[in-house]
Amino acid sequence: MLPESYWLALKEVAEREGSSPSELIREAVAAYVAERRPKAEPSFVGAGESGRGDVSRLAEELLEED
Amino acid sequence: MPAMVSGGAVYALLDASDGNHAGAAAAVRELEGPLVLVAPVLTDAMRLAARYLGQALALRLLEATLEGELLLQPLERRDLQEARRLMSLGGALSASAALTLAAAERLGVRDVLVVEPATRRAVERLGLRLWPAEDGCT
Repeated sequence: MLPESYWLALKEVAEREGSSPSELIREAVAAYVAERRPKAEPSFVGAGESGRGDVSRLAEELLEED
Repeated sequence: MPAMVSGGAVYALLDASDGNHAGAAAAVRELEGPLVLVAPVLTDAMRLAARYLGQALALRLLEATLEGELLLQPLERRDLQEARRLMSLGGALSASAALTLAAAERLGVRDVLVVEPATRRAVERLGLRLWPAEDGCT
């Protein structure tokens, strides 16, 4: 439930923009979700370069060497 | 959709020169969901990163986990029990991989991003969805 002050402000914005409060709420929720969703590609992707091509494939064997 | 991820796959994402990097990165873009991992996988990936890329990049994985780019899933007793069962089947499945697959089953996560050959075979045996679909190993 929105506080009345928010609701009135929302109605005012909607009228000014020729929209509706429900449409603005949908847009706001979509923007909120989009912003908070995990990025499609994490920031660390491609951050390093070992010069070797086989580390991930041999990961289990390499870890056993320790 | 969420996907469980193995230590090798996390490393492949990090290392641009790794033979599985392109395939793993493409899979992540297609999945568009959180990458879920268990603690042993994070430590495996960090150990590989520290050895082949340096400590700073190992810490980058820890930072990514703290930031929620990698979602750390706590293990439960039943995961350990299922991992024991999976490892008893043979196939050279590592403890980290077995715990990952056990957690995937418990969480209902059907997609698994993995590049290690033994684990890929186990994923196929369990009927889970394998990412990358093609083995891009060099």
